[in-house]
Amino acid sequence: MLHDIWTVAWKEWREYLVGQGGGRFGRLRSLAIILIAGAFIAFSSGAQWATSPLAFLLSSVYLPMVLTLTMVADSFAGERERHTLETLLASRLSDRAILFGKIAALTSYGWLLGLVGAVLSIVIANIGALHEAPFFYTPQTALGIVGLGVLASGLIAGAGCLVSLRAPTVRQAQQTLSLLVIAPFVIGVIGMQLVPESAQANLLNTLSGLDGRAALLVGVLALVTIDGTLVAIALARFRRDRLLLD
Amino acid sequence: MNQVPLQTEHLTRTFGAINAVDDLSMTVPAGIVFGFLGTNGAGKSTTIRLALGLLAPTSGQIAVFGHMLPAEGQAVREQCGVLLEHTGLYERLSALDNLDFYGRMWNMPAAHRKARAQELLTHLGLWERRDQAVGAWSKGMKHKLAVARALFHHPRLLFLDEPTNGLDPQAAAALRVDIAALVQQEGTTVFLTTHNLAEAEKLCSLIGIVRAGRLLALGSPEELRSRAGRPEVEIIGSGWNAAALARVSALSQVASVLQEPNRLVVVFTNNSHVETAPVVSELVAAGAQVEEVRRGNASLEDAFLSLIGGR
Repeated sequence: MLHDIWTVAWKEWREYLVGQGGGRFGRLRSLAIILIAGAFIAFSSGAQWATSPLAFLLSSVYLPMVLTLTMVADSFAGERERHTLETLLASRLSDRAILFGKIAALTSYGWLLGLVGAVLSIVIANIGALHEAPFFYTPQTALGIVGLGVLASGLIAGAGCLVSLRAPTVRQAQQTLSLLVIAPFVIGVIGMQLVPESAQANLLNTLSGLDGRAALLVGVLALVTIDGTLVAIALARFRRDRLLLD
Repeated sequence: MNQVPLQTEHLTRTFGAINAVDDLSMTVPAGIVFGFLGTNGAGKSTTIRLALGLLAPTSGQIAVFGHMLPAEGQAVREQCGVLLEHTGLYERLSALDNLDFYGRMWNMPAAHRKARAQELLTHLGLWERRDQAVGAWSKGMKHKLAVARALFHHPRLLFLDEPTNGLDPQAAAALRVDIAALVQQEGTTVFLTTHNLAEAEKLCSLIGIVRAGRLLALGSPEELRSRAGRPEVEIIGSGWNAAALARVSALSQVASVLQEPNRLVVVFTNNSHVETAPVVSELVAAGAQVEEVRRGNASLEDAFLSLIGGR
């Protein structure tokens, strides 16, 4: 089973790293995201970057999620669109091996490139503050970036595979995913406007008074639960006879 | 282990109101090329999908090497190689990567994968371009690579859905030789769909003809040809006279004689062994001159068209 998962992940990574055509474009897009998101802000932040909540959120959540998001729609819908899915499904690989292999490849892609972005941004921040002593993330921040990055990337990988599994085209999968990503923010903003101002103030007070570590722990547990649920749903929806949409 | 590669019992698969496969019962014996012929939309590809567990039957049963489908689909797919309607190649990857992926899938060791890839790519004339992305290749080259991928892990049962489609005549002929050799040397069973009836006639020892999902006929090419019409002999010559025609018509195996100025068509009775010598002897004895004798068996195409109602 593990060998089969590794085999699928190997193929996915091979397409990410050495694939020509669309693969080359994907690599350039990821590089651009890392540079734009990480480099510019880090350069102007200087030594503050190492302890900045923005740097933490960018490296641990934003970059892994966005980088995974750029690839995930292609996972099944791309195979379907390029007529490789049927041959893959006709192979000896089990449902779990195919699904977990793709999720593993996507998660590791977003996570590892997110780490590259984190390292790159701290290097650029150091370059931007040459007059100061060299600095790096604190161990807690570094650990948070490493750990949270996996979960954030896994969240998008799970949700994306779930959407891509039945989407007839990559474009449709991307559109559905975009809606899913935007929806929580839109619902949040509209929801807040419906709440009385006094309640809004109470909520903000409560949130700002939260212990940072406790909030992080709650966030991690929530992500683990959501990631696991998404994978379980995707596995339940992985039906070979339903995946061959004509 | 059950050695019957493929067996169906009243297999039916519907899509809405359409019966893609309709009450199909057949057995494909081991170590042969089985030809599955039919027009577009006859249910050939659906049958392959059912045999690989990619679709579930609406009713009836299908088993591959004794494994029931779709429940034991993975056990079936372990033993199969496929070339489906589309090549299924990863066009961003090189030929070697494509083969390597499928070799890894079948747990082949790295050295074995490398050797097998070299063997197949060299045989198909693709070795020099092994590191190129497949997307830049011609359709025929992709098709050859897809064939190599299907054969890569030495499957016991090979599904080939129109394998020579898109190949040039030389490559198609070479592939036919390879398929025949595969069956002979490795004992592989090949389930072949094709629109090329001459190809089916050359390769297949058992043929099923389907129309609208229903199996119309199952038999060897000879059996199917014989069903298409009575065997006949065409005789080119001159001097046909009443006595000559009467003597030929009197032969027990002759059903009828059609006369034209320089041509005589002698139609034999069904199931009779076609012997031209007595016919020629009678004609010559009656004073006719015989220049050429041609056996006029019905072709598989005749049989196919007569069965599906095209002739």
